[in-house]
Amino acid sequence: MRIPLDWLKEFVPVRWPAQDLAHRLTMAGLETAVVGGDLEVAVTPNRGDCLSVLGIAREVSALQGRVLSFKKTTAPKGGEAIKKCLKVQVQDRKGCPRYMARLIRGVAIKPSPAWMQKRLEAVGIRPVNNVVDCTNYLLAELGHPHHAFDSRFLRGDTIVVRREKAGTKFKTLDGETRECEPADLFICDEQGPVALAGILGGANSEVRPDTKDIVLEAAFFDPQRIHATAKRLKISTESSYRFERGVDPNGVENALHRVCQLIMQTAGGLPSRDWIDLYPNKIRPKQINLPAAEVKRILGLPIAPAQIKKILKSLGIAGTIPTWRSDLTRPIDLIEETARIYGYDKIPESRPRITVGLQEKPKGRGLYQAAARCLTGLGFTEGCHLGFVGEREVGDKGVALSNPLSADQTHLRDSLVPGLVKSALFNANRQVQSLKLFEWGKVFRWENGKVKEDRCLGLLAFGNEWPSQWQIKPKPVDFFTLKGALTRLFQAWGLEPFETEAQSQGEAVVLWQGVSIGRIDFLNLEVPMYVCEISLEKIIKNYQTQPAIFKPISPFPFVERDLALVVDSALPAQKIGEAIRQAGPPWLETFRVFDLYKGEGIEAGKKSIAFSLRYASKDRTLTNEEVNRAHEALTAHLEKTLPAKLR
Amino acid sequence: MIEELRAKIKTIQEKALQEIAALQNLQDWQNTKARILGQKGSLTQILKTLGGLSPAERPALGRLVNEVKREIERRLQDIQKTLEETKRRQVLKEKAVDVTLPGLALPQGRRHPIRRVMEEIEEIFLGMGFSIFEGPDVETDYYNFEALNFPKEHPARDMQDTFYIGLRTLRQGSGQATDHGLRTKEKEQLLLRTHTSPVQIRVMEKQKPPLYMIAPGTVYRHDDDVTHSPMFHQVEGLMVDTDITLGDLKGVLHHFCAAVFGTDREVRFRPSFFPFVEPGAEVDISCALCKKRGCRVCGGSGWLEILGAGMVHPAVFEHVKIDPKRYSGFAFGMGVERIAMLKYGIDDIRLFYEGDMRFLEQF
Ligand SMILES: [Zn+2]
Repeated sequence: MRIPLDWLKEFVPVRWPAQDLAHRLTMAGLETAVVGGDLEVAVTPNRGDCLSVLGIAREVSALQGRVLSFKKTTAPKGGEAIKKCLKVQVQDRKGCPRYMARLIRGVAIKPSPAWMQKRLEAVGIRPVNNVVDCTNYLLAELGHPHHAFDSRFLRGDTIVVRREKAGTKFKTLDGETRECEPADLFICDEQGPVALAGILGGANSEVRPDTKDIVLEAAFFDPQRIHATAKRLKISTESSYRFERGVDPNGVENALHRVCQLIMQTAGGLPSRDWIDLYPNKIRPKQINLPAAEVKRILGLPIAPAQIKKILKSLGIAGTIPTWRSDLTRPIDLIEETARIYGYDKIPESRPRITVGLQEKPKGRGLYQAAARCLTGLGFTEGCHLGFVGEREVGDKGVALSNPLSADQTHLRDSLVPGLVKSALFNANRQVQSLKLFEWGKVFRWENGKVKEDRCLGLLAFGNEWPSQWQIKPKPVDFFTLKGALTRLFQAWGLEPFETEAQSQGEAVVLWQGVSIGRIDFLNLEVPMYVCEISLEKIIKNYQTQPAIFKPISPFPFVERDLALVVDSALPAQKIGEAIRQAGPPWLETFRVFDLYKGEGIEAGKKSIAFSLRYASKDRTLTNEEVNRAHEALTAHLEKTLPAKLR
Repeated sequence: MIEELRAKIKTIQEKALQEIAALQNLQDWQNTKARILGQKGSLTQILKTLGGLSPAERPALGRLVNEVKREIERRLQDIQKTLEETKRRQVLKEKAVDVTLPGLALPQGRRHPIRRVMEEIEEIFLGMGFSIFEGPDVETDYYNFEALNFPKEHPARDMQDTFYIGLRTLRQGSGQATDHGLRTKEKEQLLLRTHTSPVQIRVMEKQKPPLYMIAPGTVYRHDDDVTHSPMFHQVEGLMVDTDITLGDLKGVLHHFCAAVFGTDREVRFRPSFFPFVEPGAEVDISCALCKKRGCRVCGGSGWLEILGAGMVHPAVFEHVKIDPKRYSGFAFGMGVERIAMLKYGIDDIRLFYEGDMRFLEQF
């Protein structure tokens, strides 16, 4: 909000240069910058009282150590009695605790004087005509919104403050037609709404160039009701902005007199002799008790009771809380008031003493950190993608947003794959030829009436395995790139290995402890790529950091033997492995696949698969003869049972 | 006879030394050594003839032969070293490489800058004795707003524009609406948390003070421009115990700022408003670019906002049934993206989520 310095100085003498003043206001909780010689103040939503020149003047005065002295306007004298021409009924007293009205006859609508237009422009309000400008001027000066109706267009002589039926349509003076809900508050005449209370006037009753007689409204509306309506209708006016932050219910009368005075000055006319003021339950200043010990307990610094009293007094808080400070309701509020005027910078820094205990960390954190170390070491770069996707990118348990930002961000992601693929294509379109990515994040699905949040790990690879270089030939990534990375990761986690099982669609499902936890797929897109996604919930749940148990190092040498078998093309390596494990001697330590061959020299429909077996006993040196015997027996067994042929 | 033998020995010596001096490689050296000193070598032959000499003559000649032998051995040893060195150099020369060629290029992935900064923040607070807690991204109004002292229909809620979860969605294709089996009582409005502060409520409901915790996580706001993303990351912190003061808040957060941005940055605390804290504070660090003179980065103020903080509001304690008269505490929250942007000089928040390798490879 813009506060012209000369306007401010009409209310309070200012001791400091503008920059200095701005700094002091900032350090007192009103972030202020100097723009073109005036103050630009960012007012937090709790400080509705600061949305005016008067409000800022009160703060400045308090910072200068004394409470602002503010002279009230005497009510201008008038002619006829108002009850002869206007009645007001407030049917919704909760929505409108105070309603005031006064009539002015014989105004001449024309542009407002130059000084007024200049000030309005300075605070960012477009001048309209003298009457409207006077209400806006007052809004900027005292923070009280007013509304002026052309009394010609008020049907009947009674104004009613009430709710309307749902679905009532009303054209506001900005030309929009608004559809209403039962909680919305209206100012009505005898035939229907003439204004959306506290927010916007109606097109049917606005002041026009030929307006002569006006009804001036000054009121205090329930902030919550104003906020609810303004927010739903997506309207924010200078008026609603102030009403929803709370205006001073006891400042309404002075404001009405002041605006009346301004209108008479700029537009002429004669006001009614008296005015209407419906304020059945007067809002009285509250009392809050603040023990000095509480100030020390919260701030850590003892401030003398006399000083606390002086600070509060400078803010107008002397025993009771002024009604313009509806944000102050409990002792802690007064502690804050004391601290901000005293100065946060004067409160010394301290270091708390803590009670030592075992720190808690989320269960998945260690797994995540190990995964990040492992995968970056394998060349995977970490991605972090927006969690929103379009409807086509989620399954039927997808979680929709009721107010999405855009048509391609309507749902929460139920898989990490779309984000990874988008990143991959983004890079592929920018001359990146090879890429490995991983992401650790949540995905969302409806499950039994609840949104289930599932932590997942996604991997993606396209292009070549390693950077092209002079020593090594390039190797394209494939299914085994991701399977290998996942294998290393499970080793890094110290978990029992997973298994993969072929799928009719895509490449494979990943099984762990017998349950499917994810899949590895090939995506035949403009850039062919491999993706893997596994759910981490089961792993995190079952994960326990178990210390590795040391096994004595065997002093006996191992013996290695190769075994090349020609088998059916469709026979999975895992099956052969299981057969080897089963039929081999107990001192068959490990074995691994070291070659796979199809083609020339191998019968069609067959493959040659070669294993390297390592035999080692823990209690003796194996002799060549016993190894040979066992190896031959194993070979013979495999040939018969798989079946296989020795190559 | 003796003189003859002496002359013969001399000749052998001279010849041997000449041969040794002329040696070119270790193979010849081996052969030469065998020829001179071996069983059939000339010196050994001479020694055998000494038997025919008188006992008076034998010792002198014996000594002579041994001296000659020792000298030859010494020379052999010297030349062996030279020859070995020559050979080593030759091998090296044969295996010589262009040492300016690049080394083996092993692939190395990068951590995402957000995660990197997040972990850095976590480590600082772990070091100070804080625990880490997490909570759900999909929250209820109660945890995200109400328990945090955001009154219903208060403009304070507008500071955090909220995404709401649609409770009914259209099944793709079929056009039929489904409410995902929600029972009536569960049809509470769900939303995406606008801050990680709900975690402090969830933790305080279960654990009583002392409590020193941070809550890192993803948060969502209905906002999208150069400095705002609809999804971003936050670290929220809470310290509750007896006798925790605003002075403690200042001490701990100053410590944190120094750890992240360096001890040469000034830190200032100024009053601000967040419904769940009071007194509330905004924490600024001095702008490193302009040294507080004001520039484009700091919007001319010389200071950069990096943290929101304050003393836990008694209303929040009341919601979780912690006695605000006995306990006090402070809470703070920071945007991880903002800290990363300041730390690395990044000017567009959207760069974080595009996955552009030209961006990610810089960290
Ligand atoms: Zn700067």
